Amino acid sequence: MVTAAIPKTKISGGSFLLEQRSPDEVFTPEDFTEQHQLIGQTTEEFAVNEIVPNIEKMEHKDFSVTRELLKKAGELGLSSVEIPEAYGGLEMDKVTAAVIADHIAKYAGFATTWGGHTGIGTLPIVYFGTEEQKKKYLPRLAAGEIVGAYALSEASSGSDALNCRARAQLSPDGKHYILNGEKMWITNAGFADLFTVFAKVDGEKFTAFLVEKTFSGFSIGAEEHKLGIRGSSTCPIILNDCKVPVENLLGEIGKGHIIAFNILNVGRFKLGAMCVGGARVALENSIGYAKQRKAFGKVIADFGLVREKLANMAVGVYTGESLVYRTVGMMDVALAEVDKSSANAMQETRKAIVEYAVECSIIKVWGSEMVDYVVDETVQIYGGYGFVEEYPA
Amino acid sequence: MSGQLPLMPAIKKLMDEVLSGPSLGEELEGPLAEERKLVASAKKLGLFAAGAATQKYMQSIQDQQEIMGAIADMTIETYAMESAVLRAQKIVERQGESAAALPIAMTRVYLSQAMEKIEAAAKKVIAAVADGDMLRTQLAILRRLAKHEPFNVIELRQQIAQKVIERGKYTLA
Repeated sequence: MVTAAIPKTKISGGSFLLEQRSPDEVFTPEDFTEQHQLIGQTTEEFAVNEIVPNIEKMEHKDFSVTRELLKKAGELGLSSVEIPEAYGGLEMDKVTAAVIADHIAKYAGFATTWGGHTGIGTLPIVYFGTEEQKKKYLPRLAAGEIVGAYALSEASSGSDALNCRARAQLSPDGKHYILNGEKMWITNAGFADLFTVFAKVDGEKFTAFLVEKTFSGFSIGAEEHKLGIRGSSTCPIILNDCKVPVENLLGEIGKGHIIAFNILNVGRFKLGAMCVGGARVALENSIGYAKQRKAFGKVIADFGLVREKLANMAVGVYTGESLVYRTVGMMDVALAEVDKSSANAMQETRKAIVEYAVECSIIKVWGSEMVDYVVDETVQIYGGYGFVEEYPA
Repeated sequence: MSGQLPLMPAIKKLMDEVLSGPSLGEELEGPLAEERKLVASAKKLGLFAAGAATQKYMQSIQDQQEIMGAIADMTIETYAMESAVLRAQKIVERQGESAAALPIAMTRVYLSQAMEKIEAAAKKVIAAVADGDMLRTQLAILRRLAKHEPFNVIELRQQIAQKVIERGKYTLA
């Protein structure tokens, strides 16, 4: 299928507002290489054969199933494409990461878990870890042997993350940071092993730490009973004089905001991709139902307004694919220019990613609103069945 | 992007352009010319609304959340529209226009929806930042920028639905 070259034009973030682009400058699904297609296929098979049959169990919070699936995903290489080879990863491009996110997202509960683990749960170490931290944690995160999570939000600080109350103080013997506070809405907390936790050193300097769940003073609060993504774990975590070895300081003291905002930026594009994948599944389910459900002597797929809904859903998927893959394609071009062997490779990598903060934000919010519409129409098409647990909506 | 995008000069250029009266405009040619023109109009509408808003509020525009939200929505729709069109163009280039029938149909449906949102957002902003004669002038400019022949979205959607129902899933062929 691939005869044309992958787009290589370096494009500035936000420049779409002022510049014209030509089709050969943007990446689209029509540019997928054989490798992209292969990994898409692998992910698709994994999702259909392993995730979908276990939806019921995961909806009822059987996290042993979830952990097992994370491990299996890890074994297939689906959780390590953004991790460098030197640390057990597959070190592939962002398009590949998006392809996996797209195809794995057949069940939002698991997609959230996987996305939390591979994105915000792992990338802080990839982009900001020391050599020792990378060696210690990345191979096991890549394999799904340990699960990652990210603890930034608190009860009174969400959007204004820098206003957090969690505190960190260096112990008198200089060997540990003692953390105190509570974090809320932590994805994967119910079964994660490693948490990137943000706290203010001496009550002032916003800093990140790598906290293992076995550290003394660390505990996990009760599982939230959410209205949606119920198959994913969301708990508060409590730090009560939690002892974190100084070697687990992530990045620099007082510079935690750089980690916080960069990681959120880079996590966003996967959310956009997952929304597209979810919408595609919802559409397929809706078509299947509409083709067999009868009303007034014909299948409801024959009614104009039902067809209008299905068409709009398809338009959502098409446009979503266009948006998402264009964005990650741009990121890949910028990232390919980074000299990995240079001393400031990490900094250059981060710069390349933050360049597209606008586009990544767009695909996140657009994708969410699109899949929201698609799922709502799915509920409509399924009628009463759309509102009950046993049915796909 | 980090504050390096030359937005203000672009806004000024557009404002000068639109306030100097209707122009003949560049005629685009080739496949999806209408669609590409719409994308260009969308970008102008966004810059126009942003320009009108910053003229009134200057730096404190950041505190005008509803206006910032409307401009953000216009930006989002513009990126989405352009992405859909560029992809359809690529498919036309590689497979020809008849093989690209479905992507083109989907693109047109999306463009229709997006232009409605963009126009509404622009009106919301203009109405909030201008009044009297200035309002009438700016609304006239807005109408000129947004003017386009509507696609037959009913037919386009039926065409799309027919295919996805036949295939039983999302498809582009």
